Amino acid sequence: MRRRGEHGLTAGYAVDALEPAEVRAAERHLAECEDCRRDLAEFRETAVRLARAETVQPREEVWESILAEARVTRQKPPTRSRPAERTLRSRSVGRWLPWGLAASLALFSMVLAGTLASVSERLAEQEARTSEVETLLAAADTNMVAASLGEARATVFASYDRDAAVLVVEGLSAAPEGMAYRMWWVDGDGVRPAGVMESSGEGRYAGVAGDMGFPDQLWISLEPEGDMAEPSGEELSIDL
Amino acid sequence: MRVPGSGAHTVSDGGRDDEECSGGRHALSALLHEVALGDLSAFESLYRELSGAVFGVARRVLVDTAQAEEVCQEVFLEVWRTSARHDPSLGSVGAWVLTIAHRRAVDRVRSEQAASDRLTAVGRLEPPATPHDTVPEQVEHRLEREKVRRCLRKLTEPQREAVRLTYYTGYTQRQVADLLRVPLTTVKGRLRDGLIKLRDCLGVTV
Repeated sequence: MRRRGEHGLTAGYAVDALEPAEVRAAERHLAECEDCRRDLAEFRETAVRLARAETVQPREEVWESILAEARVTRQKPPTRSRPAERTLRSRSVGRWLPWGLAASLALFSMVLAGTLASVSERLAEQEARTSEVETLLAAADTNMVAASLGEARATVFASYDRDAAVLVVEGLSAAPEGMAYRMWWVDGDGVRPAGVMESSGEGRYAGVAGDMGFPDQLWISLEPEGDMAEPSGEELSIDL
Repeated sequence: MRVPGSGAHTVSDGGRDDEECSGGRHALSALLHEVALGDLSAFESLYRELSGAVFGVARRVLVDTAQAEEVCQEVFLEVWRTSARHDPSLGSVGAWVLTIAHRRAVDRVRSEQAASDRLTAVGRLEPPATPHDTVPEQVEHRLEREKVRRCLRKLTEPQREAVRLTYYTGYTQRQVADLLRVPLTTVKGRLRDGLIKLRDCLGVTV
């Protein structure tokens, strides 16, 4: 399920030509791709040569001010360990199962509340969603990301194996008539629709977003009902 | 103002053309080690070795001399502060320092760009003209400069354009795609192929 395009980020990364979301995707990819790290090192050495060819000596005053500043600047001690990789995978539910159970119970009560709140004609739909949610929570690699979005709080349960995520947001203001909260995946290739969220209780919206890939962010935006290729206005963004 | 005793650390001063990537690398890494121990004269030697390239690339990207000087100061102070944290497995000292320099220059271009984009819808769409050196070209770097020029000429025009607009101008691949009205993947391919050709032409090894 590896998405294309990540290898293609190495050259852009080497010459600082990536958008912020792409930088994160590239760094994640570089952490697990040895060939890409070698490419990166070579591209950077190539860039050194380009920079060398631009050599122009700065005024001597530049060194003087650097020296004066260095004399009063404390040096940082070496770091023993590198900062942990910030990947979703590093926080697997498997390692703290009790939490996973609590989360699934919370989700079930959420979904049930939704079922009760809406009328029974939506029951079949809700059941389908419940089973989707169950499958997702049961996946071995499912993990959770929590984020606050102003007044609202978002929780994402994501599984690379299932290529999907469940998003629950509490505290969103109610979507006006004819409008809906939509989800969007953001990765190195841009922004793409990830589905619609539904209200399932007081100020609580939830949605199942498929075709996840290796996203950098999940966005939520309030949009007119109907299919949309890209968000039209203000988005709330969740870093993954 | 030179640091007393700074003459002690002379690094491959003459003919820095090809041994840049062999002898010079070890010398720089030894210097950086001393810098990490707080040795200001080693710091000056490192500065003498790399400041021309740092300032040069910053000036090329930013066009503005005063801003390039600021970037140069920022870069070397970052090097001073974090010298103990340089990870040699991630590349040479030169690549580390020049990566910091290029990134800082590009960050400035982008924040400046963001500011001007707020003022005008057009923003900074046209790449700035390359600053023509008013400073006389230094003999010691003429060879390297010629070599890079020769290698750049071997790229196809679209590849050269991709390298120019990203590395030298500070655009993202996406901005280049928008500017040239071609798909993003096309730009990625051109930049990658261009860098590979440059790497091979310049005989870069890691």
